[in-house]
Amino acid sequence: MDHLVAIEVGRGLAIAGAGLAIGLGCAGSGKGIAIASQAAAGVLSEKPSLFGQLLVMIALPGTQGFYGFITGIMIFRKTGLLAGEWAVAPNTGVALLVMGLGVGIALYVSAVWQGEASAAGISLVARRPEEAGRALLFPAMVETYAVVALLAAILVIFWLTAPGAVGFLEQVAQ
Amino acid sequence: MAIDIMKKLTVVCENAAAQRLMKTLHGLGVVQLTDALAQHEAAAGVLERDEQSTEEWDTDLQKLHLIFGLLDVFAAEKRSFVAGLASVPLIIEQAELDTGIGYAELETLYVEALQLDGVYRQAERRIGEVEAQLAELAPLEELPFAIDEMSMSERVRMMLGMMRSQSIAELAQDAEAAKTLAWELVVPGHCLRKGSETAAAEWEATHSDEPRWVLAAFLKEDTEAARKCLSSHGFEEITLPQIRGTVRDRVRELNGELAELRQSVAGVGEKVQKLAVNRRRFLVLKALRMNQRDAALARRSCVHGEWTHMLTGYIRERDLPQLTSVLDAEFPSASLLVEDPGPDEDVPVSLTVSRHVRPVQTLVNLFGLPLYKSFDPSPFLMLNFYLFFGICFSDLAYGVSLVLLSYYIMRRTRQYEGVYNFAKLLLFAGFSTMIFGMLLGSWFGDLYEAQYLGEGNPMAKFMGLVSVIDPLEKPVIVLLIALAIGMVNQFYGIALKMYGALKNGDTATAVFDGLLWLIILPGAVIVVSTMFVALPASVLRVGLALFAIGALGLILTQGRSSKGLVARLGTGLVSLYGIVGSYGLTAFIGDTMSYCRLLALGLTTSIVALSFNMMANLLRPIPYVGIVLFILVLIVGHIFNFFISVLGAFVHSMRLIFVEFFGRFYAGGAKPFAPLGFNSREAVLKKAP
Repeated sequence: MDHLVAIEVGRGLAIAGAGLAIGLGCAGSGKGIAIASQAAAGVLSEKPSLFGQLLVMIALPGTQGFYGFITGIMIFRKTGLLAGEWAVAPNTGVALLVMGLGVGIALYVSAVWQGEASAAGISLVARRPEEAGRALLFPAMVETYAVVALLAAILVIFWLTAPGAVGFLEQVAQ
Repeated sequence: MAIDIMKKLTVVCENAAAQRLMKTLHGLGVVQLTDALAQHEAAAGVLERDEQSTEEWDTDLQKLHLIFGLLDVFAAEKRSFVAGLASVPLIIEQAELDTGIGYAELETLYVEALQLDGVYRQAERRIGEVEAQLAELAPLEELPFAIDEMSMSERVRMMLGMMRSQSIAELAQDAEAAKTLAWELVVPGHCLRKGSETAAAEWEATHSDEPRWVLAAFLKEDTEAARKCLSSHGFEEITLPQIRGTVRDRVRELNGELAELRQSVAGVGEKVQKLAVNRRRFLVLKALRMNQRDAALARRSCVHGEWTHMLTGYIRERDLPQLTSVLDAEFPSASLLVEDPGPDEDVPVSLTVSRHVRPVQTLVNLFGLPLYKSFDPSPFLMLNFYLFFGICFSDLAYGVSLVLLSYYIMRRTRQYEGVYNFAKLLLFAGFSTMIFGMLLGSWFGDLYEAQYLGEGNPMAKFMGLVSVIDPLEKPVIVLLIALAIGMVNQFYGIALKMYGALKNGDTATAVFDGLLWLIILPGAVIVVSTMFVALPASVLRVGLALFAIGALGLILTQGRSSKGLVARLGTGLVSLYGIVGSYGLTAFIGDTMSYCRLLALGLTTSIVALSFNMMANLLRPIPYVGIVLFILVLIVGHIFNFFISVLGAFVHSMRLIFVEFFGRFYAGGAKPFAPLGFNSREAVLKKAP
């Protein structure tokens, strides 16, 4: 493959990976928050004083969107897009694309289930407001795996884009 | 700074003094009553329970419920968004209780509220009916004739329906239909408007494709045939409302009624607004009546005989002298029996901690109070919670902001203990955030960089001096630090388990379920580390020795509750893995890995912050407004990041404490000590100065 074409393909794949991570993460967060909000709205109609406690439960599934955003920004940052001088070999691009997809799926699924866990916690708080602390723990347990996915993504991006790593500009040039 | 020592008490007095004794105990607020018959089973056949009616208080509470229902509709309490985030108890002064609403005044206000409620409910019900009728009549409003006129003829029947143009044309060609019925098209408003011919022509021109109103007339005896004929041409009959005159007249009538009803509701609203002046007095009365009801319910746990009255309960040891002196002075004939709680008794728990530890006690309260025979973990989680929070939030500017915000909340909420302590928790967490923000080189992300604040700006110089490592540049090193913190924290948890066991005199648990893990786990860490880093042979030998000693000890002891040598050794062997036994190597790996979130959360704060900085900087070159947009995006972005990150930092730090740390040594779930008295979750009586 021609050197420049290879770089273009690599770029496109890397951007697609970032897009998938951001898009799936945000979509999952949107759905998760909607699930929690529906449960909270029902409770607040009867017990408005619980607003503060429920707001935290509603906000929890929102973090996956940020994790996706961070994954995307890290791809842009470490591949040199933000500095305007970037080059990604096709194999690195493929790796970033698949990683972005994997992270995106993990974020999407965990956000939706975190929304369900938040809704369950909300119904617990509605019946027993003194259990707010424990109720907060259930959705936090689900989020663990979104955190693991984010961390894995950050480390993979670092390793893939480190100087001398697989298929970066120097190797393409050779 | 610990779990308060509790004593069981039994007080016996003459029946005549029972009421006064309860009042005194209520005033003292140091005794939690328990079921006297459960405490003294032998008395079951001899003594009877106190039958205390709560009807008096329940009646008043029902009246107040109706009043608050009206106030919520017409004069809802206005609370700011921030105030709505935390529900705080009502702080009541003694004078308010003394001069509060009495029975007569409540009755007067209730009668007024009841009458207003009746008017409101009746009006609302009628409004619903009228609106439903209007919705039903709306499609027929343009019908140009009086509905009742259609049924005036004895021999002729009339029917209104809808037909499409195509069907109308077919009906016009149907000779059989012409013999059975007569029909004509009805143009909306045809008879109602002046100059109707032109209007009708215009209507037909513009609505030619829409279904049309068709009015059919036929003789009474031809009804069946006419219906069949019309139906065959797609005629959809419209059921006409049972009204006199035209639909338009009826709609006008109903709209008039609706306006009157709404005016009546508005009138009720004005009167309720006047009633709302007493809102605080109603709240005080509600708190009082609820308290009186609870006191009456508590009284049901007491028993009495023909001459004597007996109550049982728990009291903190430190409050005992106060109770004794009051009983001696005011109830000289009463006798007091004090005992230690039994070993298996479910004793209510009261914690007394220093003011510096009180903020983290909030976390213990959230998780559940420690069991009476265990120990209060609050002082032991101060350091690690603040450490975790600081690493997760790790930004100097955010830390300063959190300190200022928490301090402001503390100043405003000094009288609300719960909110005050939570704000104080965040205040200390803010200081920790500042420290880790400096160490990890984050000040509004990377806002101190030259592209934002210029070359050689003082903030960049300062951050250059204080920062130790940038997690964005060296994430693996920070990850290893996070995992190391995790390991140390797990060892700390195991050590606390040993402390708890030794405190209860359970040396076996301390050694076999604590010490042996503290031997094997560091050994395992050393052995595994040799796979990644070159360690001196002597260190490896020490690691192997620790692992072997620990493993042998665990295999021999973890199955100690099993019967038979094989079962014991088998259980011991499996316990190393972690399915059974007090801990396990896999559980240790899982727990330690969980601390990687410290790095992830720290990176989240930094990366989102620097993303906002970058976005803001892109707007900066725009002529004239660029700098304004730059500042605006920075402010909005960082406020947003601040709140989302503080939430993440708190929740995940709390999770590390609750799951990974508490999992090693702590079992909460004790009932809180709830003495008789006025104070509750909803209302607190302000102490006299």
